[in-house]
This record gives sequence, structure tokens and C-alpha cells, in this order.
Amino acid sequence: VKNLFCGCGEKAIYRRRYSGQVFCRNCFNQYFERRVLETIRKYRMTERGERIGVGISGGKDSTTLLHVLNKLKNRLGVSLHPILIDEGIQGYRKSGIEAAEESCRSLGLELTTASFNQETSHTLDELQRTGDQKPCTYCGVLRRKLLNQTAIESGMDKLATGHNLDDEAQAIMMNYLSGDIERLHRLNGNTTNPNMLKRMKPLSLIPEKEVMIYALNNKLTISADECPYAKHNHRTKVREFLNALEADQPGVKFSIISGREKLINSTAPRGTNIQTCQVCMAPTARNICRACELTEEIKIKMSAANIGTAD
Amino acid sequence: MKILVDGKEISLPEGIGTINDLLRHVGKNREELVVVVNGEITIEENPLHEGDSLKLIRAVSGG
Repeated sequence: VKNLFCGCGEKAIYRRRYSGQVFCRNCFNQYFERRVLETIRKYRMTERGERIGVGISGGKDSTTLLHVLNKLKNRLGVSLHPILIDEGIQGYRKSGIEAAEESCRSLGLELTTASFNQETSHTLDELQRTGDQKPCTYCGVLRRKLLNQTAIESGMDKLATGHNLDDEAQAIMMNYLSGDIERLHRLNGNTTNPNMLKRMKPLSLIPEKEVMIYALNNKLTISADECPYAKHNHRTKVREFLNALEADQPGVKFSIISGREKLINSTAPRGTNIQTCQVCMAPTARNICRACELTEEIKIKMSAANIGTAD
Repeated sequence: MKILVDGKEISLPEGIGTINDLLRHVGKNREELVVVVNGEITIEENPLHEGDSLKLIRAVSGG
């Protein structure tokens, strides 16, 4: 058995099993950055002059996204404005905040932060101790809302997130498993509602493993801490299932993405009546959006448990 | 052959010649890891050598 080499003659660091291509350090970076640019162009994610809010957590995905977008921003003619949401998870979030601050400092970008504590008067740790929902439910719904709200208040035109190919394949599979075809249609989530910023996912055609290789290859400062609540997550089981499939059948995650695109192009959504939330005006399939519903539930629950709020 | 995996010395049984063989032997999924050998990111198809020091870095994150 011999070491593999890149086409340029340098020692290889990665082999894309689904295409057979082999890359050295430099060729991998070129491939990766080109792939992000192609994804942005394929889905017409940006227009010149736009202000792009970039959701950053300090983890490998959002940190890689910020660094690659920073390399591409002049070509795309956009400006970048990182936004961090502090959920309030003791022993976990601090290292992510420090990593995000370091990335922003090194790139000369100003970081805007918002927190669950400011928004609901409670940290996620408090919510999961007292509330009825799983921590990932509070986190997913409230983080999405807060990112959107902070980006709109900061005058952004679009909101970029670090979702990778694995995240997208998992989301699609979870919707299949719950038989929710309507949600498959809404997965990209872009509406014309002024209270919901258009979202973009430039890493959505790049496998999670490649994102980690890019972060390590470029010595990016990332937080490697695992969220303590992730073990409660249904997504974790779906992720393990998909990775077992991918190991046997390279390219299966891409097939899931392209299958979903074919499906939504050939089936019309059944006409979910998108309304405006009566509380926050965000688009929702109900009278009151899930985020406002949860916020109200938190107030009632905390009040019953006699847990004080900041106001 | 003896190697270090995440700081622990292990003796490899006969028939384990590549990183991929090792991952299968210890029950790890290559899709969820990036393997660093002697400080360099490495392809799983590459051979192992006596005294190699490996780090198995989790490529997947929850949440």
C-alpha cells in the first residue's frame, strides 16, 4: 500500500469518495472555495451591494463560512456582518463566543450579539429545566427568530448560515420520516414577507467532513465543544443512519438533496395558507408563530414556577 | 506494529495495514472523522507505519 498523491504531485490530504478526486492542501482549498462560489451563483444567493448578515456560533461550519465569504466578498460585491446568538448554555457557549470573537477580530469584522436572556429573560439552561419542551425545540425556534430579528434590526438584506450538505440531507430525511411534504417545500424558507429575511446556505452542497477539513487545513480558531443537549436530539439518530449509509454508498447525501429538488419541482405545495403572525408579524402557517407561542408558554411556565424575570 | 491513537499506544493485529483498516477495527465510521497522522491531515487509504501518532477528530457536530 502506498501514499496517494494529488494530480499536482503534492501529498494528498483528502479523497472525495463520491467522485474519486484526490486533493493536496492547496488544491483542496481551491476546490472548496470554488464550490462555495458556484453554490452562491447556482442559487443566485446574492446581489451586488447587499449587506449579508452571517450567523456565527464559533463552530466549524459558521467559522468556515465567514472566512470563505470574506475571501469572496469583493468578487460578489457584498459586505459581511457577523451575528452571534448566545443561547445561555453553561460550559458550552463560552468557548464558541471566544472563537467567534477571534475570527471577527482576525478578519476586521464587527460582531453583533443577541441572547435568549435578553429576548425571553431566561437562558436555555433555565428553559430546559422548567419548560415542557425539549431543549432543541426552544433552541431551534428561538435562535432562528432571534437571528432573523437581529439581522433585520441591523439593516441586513440577507442572512447566511453555515448549514452544510449533511444538515440539509438530515432535514430532508426528517421531513420524509414525519411525512411532512409541505415542509420539504418550505425548507429553503424564502418568502417575500418583509419580516422574514431571505436566507442563504452557501455550504449546503459541501459535506460536513469537508468543512472540518477546510477548518483544520486553514488552522481556523473553532470551538470543538459538543452541545450538551445534542444527545436529546432526534437529528443525531438520523445523522448516524445517513453516515452509515454514506460509508457504504458514497454520494447518498447528494442523492437525497437532488431527489428533494426533483420532488418539489414536480409537486405543487398543497397550498398551505401562509399568514402573518398576530404578535410579531412573521410569516406562519398559523395565527401565531411557533416562536411567539413558545415565548408565551415560557412566561406562563416561569411565572407558575415563580422564577423571576429581568423586567 | 505499535502506533499511538489519541495518545494511547495500541498494538495492531495482523492484516491491519491502512488507516481505513484501523477505523473498521475500532468500529469508527470514516464519514464522521478526520484523521491526522503525525500532525498532517491524511487520507484513510494511506498505510500505517510503526510509531505513527494518530488523532481521530470528530467531523460531525450535534445541535
